[in-house]
Amino acid sequence: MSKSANKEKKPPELKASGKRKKNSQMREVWSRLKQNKKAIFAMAVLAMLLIMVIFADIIADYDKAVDLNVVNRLKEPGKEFIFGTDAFGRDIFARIIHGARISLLMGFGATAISAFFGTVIGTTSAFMGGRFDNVVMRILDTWMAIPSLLITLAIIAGIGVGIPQMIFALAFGGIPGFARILRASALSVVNQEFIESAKALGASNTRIVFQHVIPNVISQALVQATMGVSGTILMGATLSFLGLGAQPPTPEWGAMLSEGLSNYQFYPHLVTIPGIFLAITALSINIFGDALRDAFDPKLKGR
Amino acid sequence: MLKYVIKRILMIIPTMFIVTFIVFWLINITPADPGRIILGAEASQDLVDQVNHDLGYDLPLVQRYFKWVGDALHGDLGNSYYTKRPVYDEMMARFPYTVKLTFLSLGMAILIGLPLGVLCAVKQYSIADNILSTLSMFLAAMPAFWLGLLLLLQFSLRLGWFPSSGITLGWRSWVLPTFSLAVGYTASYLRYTRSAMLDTIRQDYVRTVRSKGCPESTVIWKHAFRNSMMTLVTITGMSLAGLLGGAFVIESVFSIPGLGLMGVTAIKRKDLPQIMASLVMLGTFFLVMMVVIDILYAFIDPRIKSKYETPKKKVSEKNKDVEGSI
Repeated sequence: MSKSANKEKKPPELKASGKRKKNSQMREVWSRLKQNKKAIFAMAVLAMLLIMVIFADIIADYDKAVDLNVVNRLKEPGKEFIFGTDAFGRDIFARIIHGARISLLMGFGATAISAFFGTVIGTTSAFMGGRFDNVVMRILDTWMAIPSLLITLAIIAGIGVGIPQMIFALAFGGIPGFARILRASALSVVNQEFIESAKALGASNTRIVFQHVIPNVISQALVQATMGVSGTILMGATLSFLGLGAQPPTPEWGAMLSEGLSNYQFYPHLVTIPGIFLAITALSINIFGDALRDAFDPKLKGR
Repeated sequence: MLKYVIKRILMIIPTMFIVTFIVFWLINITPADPGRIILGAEASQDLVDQVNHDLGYDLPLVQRYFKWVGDALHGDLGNSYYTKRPVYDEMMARFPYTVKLTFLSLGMAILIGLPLGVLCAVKQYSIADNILSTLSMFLAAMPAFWLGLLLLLQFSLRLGWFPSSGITLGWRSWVLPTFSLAVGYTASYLRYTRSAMLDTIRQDYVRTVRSKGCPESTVIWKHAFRNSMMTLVTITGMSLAGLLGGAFVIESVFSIPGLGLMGVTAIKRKDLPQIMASLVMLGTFFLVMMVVIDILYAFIDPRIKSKYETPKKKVSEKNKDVEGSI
């Protein structure tokens, strides 16, 4: 969000002052995060996952993750294959590495989309107020009255199974939650004097929303998005497990679990390993989200 | 009060129309060709068109929707494209299993999560609190279906204590599914109860009660806990959607013939009447439960009750909004 805000033309002195304020807040948040041992641990795990995602092709060949190799089928974890192989002789280590790409892309992608639209809808609604706000809130109420799983399943039933479809479906279900929370926090911003002065200076509504309202609620959006990512990752894995997301032979953690079902009685590593990665990812994102919330708002600590 | 209850129940009707329409629209985003599904790939195009015409699939979406609503009100949800049997009967046969699984898990989550959460709050930073809080964090991050798989492996395939699939063995068949669905929610109940209790325990009136010499158990259960109830009812409402969704998934793991299994299979086959029926039933159940929770709210919180006894409806609506958005 800050990127898009910086792109717009601003008088230089405004930009400088805005930047300084932002930096100091970020620095403060960072210094509080550093003191939190749990957060450090979670960040280390996430950094490792990130490295895995970025260098997936260097760490393990994609071919090993998808090519059938019957000679090596169902090997236990050992020297040659750290995590063993699956029923088609595919290296589970390679599949985990490349699966991380898909799971994280899905989790962060879908959450980023819903966070963006939710933030824009929520802040705009708070800023405009009046009838516009009322109409938007009624629509969001109805949207939220439908369980997000129902919407997700209906969208998948409508547009078919696959990873892009799943990202779209997951993102769509997350928008109203973001919009409501961001509206609530934007309400406290929109009546302040600097918004009024921006109006008096003749700034357009778009400019006010993107440059003055959103930067003031961005911390809330960040925390909310972090919390949302782990849920989205688990949801995506669940959909793939049911066969409604990533399709074989795509190495996706949920899909790997469902493929392991037929043999896992005698080869439990087929389901334990993807599950452990799934749980650790979700756990460290949750911990990081909690720590981030505490760092932005120390009053909430210990809840 | 009665007025509020009736109003809240009547409000289901317009919501149902919107929900069913949205679902109907979404599952029909891509043009459906049920004739092809029913007759198979080798049937001639004329026959396929004929079947599509008989089913009304050459009509515009809105018209088809109203036809569906009209039929649904008569208990006719169409026939499955695959089994050719009425979807309504199948749905009604399966629905109780989904409800049973959901309520069993909710019950377990409340019975275990609540007391442990109160314990954690009362003994904040004790060993028990630390262990339980950390454990609950781990358990909440665990995907329910994965836990289900692990339990299945250990207690059913290896030890043989419980059946691995189906519901034919009475209560034994429900232990593993309930447990795997409930664990995550037990953990989140624990966390929410703990934080809600911590909030109330620190308030002035609790100190007043203590200083008056009330026994500690009365302070906790009669005064603090009752005021945390509000938060907990909210959380029950929020977890219901997740629980129902979780039940959909757990049914697939343990082959319980509920709505979820039907819905997932139907989505894979693009069996529109079945998809529609399972999703609408899920939505209806959810909406009804939300109404129950709203009414419970009013009974627990005298502030809401009093709002609805005064004639100022506009004000109360507005306040409700603000509370909902926090």
